[in-house]
Amino acid sequence: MTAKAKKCMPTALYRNNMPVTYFNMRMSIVTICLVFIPFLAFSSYFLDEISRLRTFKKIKKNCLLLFNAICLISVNPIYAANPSAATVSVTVPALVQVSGLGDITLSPTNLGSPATGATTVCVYTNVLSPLGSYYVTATSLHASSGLFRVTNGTNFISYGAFWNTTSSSTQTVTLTSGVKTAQQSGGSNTSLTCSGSPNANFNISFSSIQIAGAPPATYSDTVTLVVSPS
Amino acid sequence: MIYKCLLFILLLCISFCTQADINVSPMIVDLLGKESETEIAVKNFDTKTNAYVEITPFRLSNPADHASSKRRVLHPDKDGLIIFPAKLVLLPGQTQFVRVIKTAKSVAADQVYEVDFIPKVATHLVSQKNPNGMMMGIRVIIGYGVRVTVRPDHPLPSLFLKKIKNKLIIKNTGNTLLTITSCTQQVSNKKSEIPLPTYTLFAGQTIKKKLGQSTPVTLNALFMGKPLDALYAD
Repeated sequence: MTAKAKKCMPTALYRNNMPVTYFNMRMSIVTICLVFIPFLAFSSYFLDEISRLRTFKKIKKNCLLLFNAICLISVNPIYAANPSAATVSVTVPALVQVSGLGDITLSPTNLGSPATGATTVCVYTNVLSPLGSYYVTATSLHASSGLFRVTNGTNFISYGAFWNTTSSSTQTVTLTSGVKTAQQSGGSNTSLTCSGSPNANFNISFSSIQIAGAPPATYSDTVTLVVSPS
Repeated sequence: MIYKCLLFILLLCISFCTQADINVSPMIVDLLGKESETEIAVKNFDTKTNAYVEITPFRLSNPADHASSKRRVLHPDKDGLIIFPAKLVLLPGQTQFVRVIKTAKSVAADQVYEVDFIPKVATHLVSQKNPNGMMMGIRVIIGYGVRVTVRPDHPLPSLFLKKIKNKLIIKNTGNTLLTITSCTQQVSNKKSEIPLPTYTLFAGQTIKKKLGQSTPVTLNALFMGKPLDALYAD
């Protein structure tokens, strides 16, 4: 029922006991020394003789280009076999982008029920494993022992903060100030703007008990949401 | 009522004016080799206002544990990493680069850092002089945490896979982090993916997963983008 522990090494490309890049580089130097330099010297001397006549200057330029192309095709078998072949490599970096987030304002009037507020978010991520995953760390400016708090300068009111991996304001993941969440999924991996449909939600809630104990005033807080790939 | 409506409109206007919209790329950086360094691009997407960005590097002592504390990098020589500059002022639409340089002389196992890019905006969302009732304003700022991994001088990627009845154990026994790309199980002649709690496996980290079936498991992983040999557990 068990498998042996296996030491894994990355697969690397080698040719004649040399890394392929080094091998290619050495072959290129040899090609330049043995073929290109003598050929260019000869063609340059030959064409200089012709170019004494000014009308031949354009011909010289075109001939040089033609000779170089022929030389390249004859030396490089890839070009000879398929002149349209070209190596194109693109490195796509790991990206995470969050947009569409807004501030939250509340004016609780009914102390019998909790005061809630939410903002929808678009999270784009191309981070692998699994695609569309990310982590969130929410930090309250006036936090105390992991509690989110608003303040009017003298008084503090604590509140609950939540993250949801859908646009719904359901209180799915309870956030603790300064603590990274578990891996979240559901980020878009196709559109930086989520095609206009938000795929996450940040919401807050003040319980009636939390509000009732505080004097009427204007309270504020700043929450920094740091999104990271791991 | 009219006063409250006007105040709400004013708050909306303020919020749109002060939000910073930045982007950071790449979000995962690997530093390998003796003299390695790289650049991270920061772009201000706002076409009207400047973005003021603060860059703070943290050393993660136990990156596998998200609840563990992160220590701010203050001494580049001791902490093994230097980030320059620490603050950026980005004009509308502008992109600037932050340089990340490895200063650690010898590294035996991965050193993992998180470099936070936080836009600095006005923190007061609502006026402090509202005499009518109670009002709350939460300003929400989005920042980005880039993972910087200083890889060891001699990276030895190694994974251990074991299955005891219906319990799967995956352990990173090497000295460098690996990315699990798939963990599949043969169920009724079909391969089904086993959802794992995490797919980034830091050096020394262990994942335990309870399986629904006791059929063979196949695990595939990457080391710095290169595939490792698949592991099997019968």
